[in-house]
Amino acid sequence: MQYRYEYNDTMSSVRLERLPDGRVKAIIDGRERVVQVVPLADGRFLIQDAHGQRIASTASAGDQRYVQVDGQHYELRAESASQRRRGSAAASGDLSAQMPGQVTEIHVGEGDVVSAGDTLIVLEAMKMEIRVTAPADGRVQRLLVQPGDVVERGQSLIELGETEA
Amino acid sequence: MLRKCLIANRGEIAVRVIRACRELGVRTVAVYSEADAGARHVQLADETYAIGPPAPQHSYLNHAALIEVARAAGCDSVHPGYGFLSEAPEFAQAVQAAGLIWVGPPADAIRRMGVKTEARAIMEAAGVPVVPGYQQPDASDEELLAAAARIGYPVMVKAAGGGGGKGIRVVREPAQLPDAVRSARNEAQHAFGDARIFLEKYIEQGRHIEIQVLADAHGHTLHLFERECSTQRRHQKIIEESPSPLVDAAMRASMGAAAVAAAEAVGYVNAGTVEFIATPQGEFYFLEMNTRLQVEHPVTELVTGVDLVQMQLRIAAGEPLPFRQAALAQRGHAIECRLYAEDPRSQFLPAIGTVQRFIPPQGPGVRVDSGIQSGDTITIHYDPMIAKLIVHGRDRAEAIARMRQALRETVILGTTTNIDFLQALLAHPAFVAGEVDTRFVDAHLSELLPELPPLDDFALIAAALSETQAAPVRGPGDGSAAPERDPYSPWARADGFRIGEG
Repeated sequence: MQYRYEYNDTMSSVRLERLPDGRVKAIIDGRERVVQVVPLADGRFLIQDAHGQRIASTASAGDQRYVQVDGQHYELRAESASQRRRGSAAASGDLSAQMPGQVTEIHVGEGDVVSAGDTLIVLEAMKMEIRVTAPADGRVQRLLVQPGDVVERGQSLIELGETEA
Repeated sequence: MLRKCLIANRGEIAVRVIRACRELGVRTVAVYSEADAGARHVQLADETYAIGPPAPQHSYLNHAALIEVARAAGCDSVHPGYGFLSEAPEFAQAVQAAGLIWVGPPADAIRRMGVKTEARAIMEAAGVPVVPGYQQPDASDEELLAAAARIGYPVMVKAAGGGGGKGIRVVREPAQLPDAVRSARNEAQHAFGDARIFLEKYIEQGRHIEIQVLADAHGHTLHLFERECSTQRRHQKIIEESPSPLVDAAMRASMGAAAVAAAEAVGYVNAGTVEFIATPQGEFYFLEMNTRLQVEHPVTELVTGVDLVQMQLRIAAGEPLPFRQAALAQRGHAIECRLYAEDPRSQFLPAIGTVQRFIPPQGPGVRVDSGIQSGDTITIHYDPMIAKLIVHGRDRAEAIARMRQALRETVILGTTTNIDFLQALLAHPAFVAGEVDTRFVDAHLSELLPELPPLDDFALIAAALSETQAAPVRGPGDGSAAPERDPYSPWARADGFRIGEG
């Protein structure tokens, strides 16, 4: 899942992928950074790379994302689902797991109409919870997993189609 | 000792007073407006009473409601904190008329110090230096020139009926005086319908230095040295410290003596602060007396080791001061920074919002006086000060380094704060050199406003991590309409437990 944030009038994108060794690959505006992530309590993360480690604290309210790292506070605005819809037309297709893990929750059934941003499936791995959300409005064509399933990275989880007019 | 104290205030100072009461075994009663029902000071007190709607005039300034609560709760005393009713002589009187002990100075001392012209006259009579001036409304040019020569240039021509900087002229040499007087009179006449002007010495590079005093009801008055509060923006203090980098032992002794004389001149009892303006050469002049506890009292507590709020309660209970002047000393250096929910990059407008997360700094020599907690909402009704960070170090350099680290550690998510503005101030060469005067911040504002830092990769990564972990479940429909997390809900947390917090 790619996230886009506005900060100081500039958009940035970030996509996180869990590597087989447990580290996280972040693709930031096309650049790759590989980090180790230790989730802490209360929305904090210990993030480590070759240069050392820092704790990032996060909170959100609506579209606002608040982050503090290394004495600096950042206020980001998450691109909303409606903005995403305008930006990309990938309305249908199948959604795959971004990291190996276990399916803990399924929030939809086949035939359900979903809206962009809706949580469809929740995966858990390495104590991290990954929410698989609908990239656009659509209808659930097929559910490919059940709660408790262990999935591989890249494994298809759900097929989304366009809603009939 | 007092038995049960009503705290007629809110926020960090109410919390501060509750703590001091607890240490002395005094039961505490908090009051709160509708906006503060879940506030920290309300949670910490022994008993709590609602006193009205959010607007202060209907709650924290409501004399009758406060006294009624004090009576109903069986209090024997009222502590006003600072601000609100702390310097309202009518309230102090009403408290005493209700048979309650006022934890503060006599109403008469508040009143006499509150009228600035009367205070100036009392100070002159008591031998306390006041800013040299000349007040003869119908003086001729010749008389004004003679007066200005006595005062010493530069002098300020000020409108008697004025304010807001209107009608003020700074005159550096005699030749400029007649023109300045004429134009100031014109401007004052237009602005205030009153052409009267007076002369006052113009203090260049003036420093705000104040002396903490304590006086008991048994005739003992002493001082607890100085605090320097020159780092201010539009007369709003931002950083305070003790000792002052300007003050040497001789100046300290004479300022202390002047402050004690000022307090004694009005029959002062309890804690108070005498404010002076000082020149870089070490001359100082009385400005006013704050007849209450000050926001910045913790810096004095850290360097003297005296708990000023406890002393207030002891004095109010009739105890004599437990020490003499000679027993007091300043140890090390203390600095306080006021954390405001405000946006320095948008004209310092108050930043209202919900504090989603507040993680105060910790460590040796770090003290945090805060009235908020995670989940609290900063409203438009009250002062946007979130917390005070106070550090103590062996010397000034250590205290500055400690404060900078404490600010780095401070996490306040959900509202904009002045943290990076404070960092810029602490790092400025003029502050490091101890040369900041009261006009410094306003004169150097542009260079003190840090640019938005470039977006740190780790910040972006953390934002994305937060989407997948503990993200609020988005409601159906537009993802932007996601419900806000209820900070009181146990489901709002990523984990069911906290690690190492306490």
